[in-house]
Amino acid sequence: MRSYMKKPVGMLKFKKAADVGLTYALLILVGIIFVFPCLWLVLASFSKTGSLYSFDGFFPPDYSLDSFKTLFTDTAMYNYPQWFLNTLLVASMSCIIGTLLVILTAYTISRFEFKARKPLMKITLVLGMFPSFMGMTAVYILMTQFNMINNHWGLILIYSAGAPMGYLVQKGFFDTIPNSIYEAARIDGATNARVFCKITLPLSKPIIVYTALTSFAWPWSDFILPKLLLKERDMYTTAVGLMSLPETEFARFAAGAIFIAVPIVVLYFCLIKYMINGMTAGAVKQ
Amino acid sequence: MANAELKNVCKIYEGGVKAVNDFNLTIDDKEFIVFVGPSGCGKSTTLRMIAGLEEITSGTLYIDGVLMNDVEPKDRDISMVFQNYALYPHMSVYENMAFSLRIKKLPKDEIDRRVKEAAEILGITEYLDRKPKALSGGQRQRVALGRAIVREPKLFLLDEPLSNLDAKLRVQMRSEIIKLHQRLQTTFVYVTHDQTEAMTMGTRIVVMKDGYIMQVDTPSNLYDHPANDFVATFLGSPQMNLFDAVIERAGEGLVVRLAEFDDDGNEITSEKNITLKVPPLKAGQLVDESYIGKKVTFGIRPEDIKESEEGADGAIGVTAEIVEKLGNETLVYTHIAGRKDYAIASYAARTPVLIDGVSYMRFDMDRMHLFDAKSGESLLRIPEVNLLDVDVKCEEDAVVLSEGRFRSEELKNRLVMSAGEDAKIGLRSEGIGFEERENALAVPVTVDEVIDYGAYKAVYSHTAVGQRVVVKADAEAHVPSEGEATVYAPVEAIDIFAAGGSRLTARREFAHPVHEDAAVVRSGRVYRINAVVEGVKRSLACRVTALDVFGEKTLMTVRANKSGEVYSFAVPTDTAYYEGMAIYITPPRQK
Repeated sequence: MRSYMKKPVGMLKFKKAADVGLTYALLILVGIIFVFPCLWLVLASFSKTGSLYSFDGFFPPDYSLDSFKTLFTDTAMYNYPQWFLNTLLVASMSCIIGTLLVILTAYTISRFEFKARKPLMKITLVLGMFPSFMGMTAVYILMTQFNMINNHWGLILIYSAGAPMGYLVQKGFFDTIPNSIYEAARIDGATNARVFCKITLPLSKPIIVYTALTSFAWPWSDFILPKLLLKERDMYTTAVGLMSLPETEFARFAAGAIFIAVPIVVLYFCLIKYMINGMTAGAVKQ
Repeated sequence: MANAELKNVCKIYEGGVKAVNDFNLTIDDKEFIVFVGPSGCGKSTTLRMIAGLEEITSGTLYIDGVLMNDVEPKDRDISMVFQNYALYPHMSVYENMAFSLRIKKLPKDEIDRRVKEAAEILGITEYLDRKPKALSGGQRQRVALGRAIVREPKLFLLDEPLSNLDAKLRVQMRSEIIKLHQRLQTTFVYVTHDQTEAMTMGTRIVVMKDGYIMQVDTPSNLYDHPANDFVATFLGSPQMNLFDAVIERAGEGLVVRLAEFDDDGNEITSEKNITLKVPPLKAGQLVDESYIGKKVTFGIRPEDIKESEEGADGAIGVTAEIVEKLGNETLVYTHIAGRKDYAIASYAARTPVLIDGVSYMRFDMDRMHLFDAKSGESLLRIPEVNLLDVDVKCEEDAVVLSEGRFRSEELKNRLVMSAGEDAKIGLRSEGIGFEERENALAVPVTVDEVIDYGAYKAVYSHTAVGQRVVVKADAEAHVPSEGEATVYAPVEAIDIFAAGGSRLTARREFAHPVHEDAAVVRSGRVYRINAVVEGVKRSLACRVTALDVFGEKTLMTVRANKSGEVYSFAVPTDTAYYEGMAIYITPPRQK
């Protein structure tokens, strides 16, 4: 028989409490690090003077709602509502076209065997390792050739065309849908298009929502491409527009930055219910 | 209502893995055929080729006489039930079943009628509105069956449909599928690895191993007359006992002596040899007398081992080591006294068994089996060919048999190599019969025995000079049970053999002349026949249309893809060849 030494109960309790305490302390610290800049931005947006230099240390001395008001009323120089609509157009269209392309690409690569499949996957993987701004000069020249400088559709084209490069996550999802479902549908007489519309799409709601969110968020907050392609102040997207504000308008900058988050948050809350797992539960015996 | 025919079907995956080899099978209308075999034997692949989910590498598939090789699955008028059910998870049970009918654009009330009827048959009416995830395994499998039923297909394909269910549910669903087959009166093709399912469900069973068909027969014939030791041991639990043995003559009859051999195959002489008398009926079935005196495998099923007493006829002393009381039977694992052989016996329930002491058992020799020690082929089978010493003369344009009583030009045309004076003829047991017919060789015989196998019969008879003639006849065919009779052999059932035993006639027509000693060279995946052929200057793309194996040589008949010209070559035998294989005729390079 082996004998076990009993540890005193008080000692165990203390250890557990210390463990939990330490975890919480760490979490709180990380929380502060994350929340502080946001809090600071929110407070800065309520600053009365607006200039960054007038701040009393970290925080503004006086607070008012003026910056939010001027954001939407004082549109002569800095047309924030216009920028907002521009961004909404670019992001929405890129989201719709991009999602469609990504889903189709991922589905094709996941389901069909064709000769170029493996080389294509390898090429996209390698190309994906380069940051997108590496090709900026080329993109600029191309867009000039197509006469798409200062044109929102130029941006939409680039965002949508670039989206399928990130098909891997979606492919991973399609790979998990059992092949026998497709085979059953084929025997039932469904064509490839019908299989895609009636079987694949309804089963893929979570991944479609995920794709739509990511392909909306990227153009929504991108700075480099719009900065490169959009020259007129009225054509600006919010990111470029806000950067064009002078330092004295920091409160307005902060207010605009906060306002950008609104659509994303709304979209997220609308779509979150579709992002649940287990869509394929009951299809096949696991 | 449909029949299906698979001819020389092969499946070769990329990389050269052969999954199915030369699969030949005719599935009759309303039959319940079961493919059974261990994992990886090609049974599911064959089913998927019938379904159209897997491409047929070579060979042909006909459903109701229509070539189906390149027909889409949806146009084959089949339906399939998958092992993992493969239901559409986002659709209700009703929608799952109606899916195919909606695609066919059937009227709504017709769809409704069919779905409700199928649901009624399967007892799932109350679940029609539920999604698959709200159903149990058994209910899901019923929905999968329902989805197949509503299509009213010609052919029902089931791929291990019960293997995901628990044991109790499996037994229940098994009987439901049998009932379904009786009710629907459709052809069923069922794949399983479970021998109990195969034995209980199939009207005929196809036993497969490593991509080859081992045997096709009714469940009882497979069990009682296995074609080889694989089928013998695969079916039946516990499996058949196999012993090394030697067949010997003893007076008029035969005996089997259980013998022991060392690793090199030499017999270890032992005084404790057990000699068992072979019943005359079994002795008459021995396929070839050349096995007498050779090493063979003797087989006996556990239930054919009976209790015995010391000194009784055929009693074998054994030591029981383990006894398993299963309730309905008692399994006894014994060690044969003084030998290394083990035997499993299945006694009646509640039989008292002495453990670790010497007890006695005897083998029911009427139910013995004998197999070739190397190939495993059964030695008590109906011989494929009856070899007869008949006077064979080759004239210029015909072969003359039986001193001029039979003359055939066709036989001469099928003759690949010239026949000497001492050639024999072989009558194929399946092609000959007792009904009188024209242009057939008549052989007078005396009938000894008729063995009924259910689906067919074997008539054992002998000629005036004592040569055995076995006729395999249909169950309905009228055959004499004893006495004098005449066996008629049509020319297509006659082969000519050289004195050494190698066949000289091809079993189908081939091109004249035969290009002898052609070499087949393989480069990568491409096969080339190196031969000088008139009119062929560069490589000529062909397909193999027929293969006839003559021992070390194979007669390969190929057809040129473009011109349709037929050429025949005698090439060294190789298992890599198959009918439908692409091959090039390439003239040897001039140096």
